[in-house]
Amino acid sequence: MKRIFLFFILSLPIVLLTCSPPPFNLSISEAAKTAKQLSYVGQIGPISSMSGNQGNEDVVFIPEKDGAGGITLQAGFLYSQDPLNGNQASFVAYDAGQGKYIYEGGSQWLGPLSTDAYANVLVQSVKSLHNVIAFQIDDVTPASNRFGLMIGDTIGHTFTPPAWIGLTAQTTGNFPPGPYSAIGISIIPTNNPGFDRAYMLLADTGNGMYREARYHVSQAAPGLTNPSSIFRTTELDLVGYGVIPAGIQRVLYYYDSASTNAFAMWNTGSHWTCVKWTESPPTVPLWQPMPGINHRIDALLTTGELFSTEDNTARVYDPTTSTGSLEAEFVLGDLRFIGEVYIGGVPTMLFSQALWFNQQVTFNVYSLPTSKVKTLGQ
Amino acid sequence: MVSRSLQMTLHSSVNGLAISEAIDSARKGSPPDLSLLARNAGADFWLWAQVSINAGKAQVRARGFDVLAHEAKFDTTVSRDNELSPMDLPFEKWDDIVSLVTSLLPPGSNEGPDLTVPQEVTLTVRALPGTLIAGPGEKKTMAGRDGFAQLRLPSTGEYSLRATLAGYYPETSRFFLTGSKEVVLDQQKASWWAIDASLLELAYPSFDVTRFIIPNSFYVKLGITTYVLGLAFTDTQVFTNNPLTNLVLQTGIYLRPEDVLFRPYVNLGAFLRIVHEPGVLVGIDPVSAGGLQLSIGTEIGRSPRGRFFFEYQPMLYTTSVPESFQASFGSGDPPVGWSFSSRSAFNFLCFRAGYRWAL
Repeated sequence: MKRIFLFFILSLPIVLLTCSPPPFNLSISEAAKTAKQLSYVGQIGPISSMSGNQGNEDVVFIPEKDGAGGITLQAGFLYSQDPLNGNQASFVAYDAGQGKYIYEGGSQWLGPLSTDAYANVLVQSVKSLHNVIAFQIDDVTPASNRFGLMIGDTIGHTFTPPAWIGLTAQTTGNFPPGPYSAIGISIIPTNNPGFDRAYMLLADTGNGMYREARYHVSQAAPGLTNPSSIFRTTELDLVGYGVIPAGIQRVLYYYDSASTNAFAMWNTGSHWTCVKWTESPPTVPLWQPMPGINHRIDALLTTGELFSTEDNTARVYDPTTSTGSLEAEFVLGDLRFIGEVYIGGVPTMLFSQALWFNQQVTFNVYSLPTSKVKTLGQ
Repeated sequence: MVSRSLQMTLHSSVNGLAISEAIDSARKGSPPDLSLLARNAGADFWLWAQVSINAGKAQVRARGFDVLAHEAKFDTTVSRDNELSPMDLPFEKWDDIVSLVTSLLPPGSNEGPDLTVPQEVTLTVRALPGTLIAGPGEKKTMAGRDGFAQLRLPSTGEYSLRATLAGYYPETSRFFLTGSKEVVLDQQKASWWAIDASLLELAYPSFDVTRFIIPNSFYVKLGITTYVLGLAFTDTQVFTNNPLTNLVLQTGIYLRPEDVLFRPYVNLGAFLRIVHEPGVLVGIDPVSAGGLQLSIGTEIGRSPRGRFFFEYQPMLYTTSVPESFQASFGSGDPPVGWSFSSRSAFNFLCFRAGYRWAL
């Protein structure tokens, strides 16, 4: 018995020294399940953490949009949401001389993390240089909402800070014009190699009415072209008609140019409310609530469907039904939806996955033709 | 067994000494009882000896009594410096006791038999037909169809036999021969089934069921290792909880017989990783479906019915997404004992400890 006891006592330190965490992470396995149905675009990294707070930040790789109607992984932008360091953007590019991805310039701080249910920052690659645009939307007051273009340079190894321009009537620069403040912004891809579109819901700070505006997002400074179209006949009294509540400071806003339907979504505590409207007759909103759409919407897809990634679960909604209906649902795990782009003329959804190991991060980028997104949940 | 080796040594050294089988009377050690016992046996002298352990020292008390004269001849105690181990008692020579007793006995009564002439004895063993019986030295015999086997042994003394038969546990018997004797072996059927309860890496519970193809030797084993509840050896965590269970199928073989203290064995098998998070992911883990595992272990103990075991168990994981597999460990330093390649990951420092019951 003494020998048995001695044997176990001597074995114990060996076992303790070699104990390792279980080789399993549910979120990664969930992502792997979905990724098997996606197209693998490529891998970036491994590269070191941008914030030094590795593993604790939620970080995505946003590929550059090239000038030929596609994307490239040779360079792109890291957008990080870090509990310690807030929102940050960095520019990375593949350095053939070093045979690895390197940071070009420093990280740009884009403000603190959101304290409410809305994201504070919207970051998108701009066609077709090393440029990226960021919309900073304040949690509390639209008066401080702004956007800025950041420019990467792989020769000078720089990444310029955003040249912020206000999105309120109180600032100069005419974004938006007159008495308006933007309270909802979205970016919709186009098949044009030179620009995408940004749509905004504008609140008239004078009379409480609303307008909708469309901009070009392009490489030319400051990144937004002045309103290419203020659409609808005139301002809409969305509050007066009961479409949205009075005094709302922030919405998620999307506009479908094909159907001319606009969508707004706002959060009241743990609950999201969605409505859609169009103009019929002129100046009168024809609207309906969409109670079937009850998760945060992150994109209006080119198919006309609404796409949610709330709680790391992908949900595809059909907004053409009377209340909005869920068409498909699948787990994302640690996959992050980073936008819809045209690749070779085909609307394509992009996903980024950050994989941390040994103090470094590797990104996998996946794609999916938008028309197939519903099949993932079936 | 304690007293028998002393009895037999005295028996061979003191002429005319008969061994009493009246255990109760001898144990009480009452002179009248012992004298009555001696008289009934036709003896005129009794010798009583008792071994006891006191404060870690062995003490032997010896008393001699002349029955005819109703007179105690001696009553003395010999102390040993060390404790007599039960394992050593059958082999104890008792020279000091024998010298003491023979010196105290009346003249003419201490002439022992002529020990220079060995007295050959025959040991008859009753065992299951086909049982191989190994005796001292190279002596071996096999029980015939009638279930009998005989061994001729050179003299009286302490002997042990080991009997083996396929499908039965090995049986080792140890006894003291004072003359020819018949021994009946109690052979136990070997188990066809066994169950294990263990901890992988001292953290994750495992349960296995073993089915023997060849009893005591070759087997297949089906088991699970679950990560649903595990121990975490970190500064910030006590328990871990992951919806993952490995389903393990192995085959193995024992490398030594059942009746050894350390009984090594080797297993080789495959494992399947099952994720069970209802509503999210249920099925084979898409990051790593499973892999191969080797177990080199030893059972520890002598009981055929239950033993501790300790295994070195390297595990090879297959994966088509190696970065995802690596990232499963988190963002820190690589785990100790792992190596990674483009298609697999190898945990080469993995251990398991547990207990195995034969059913």
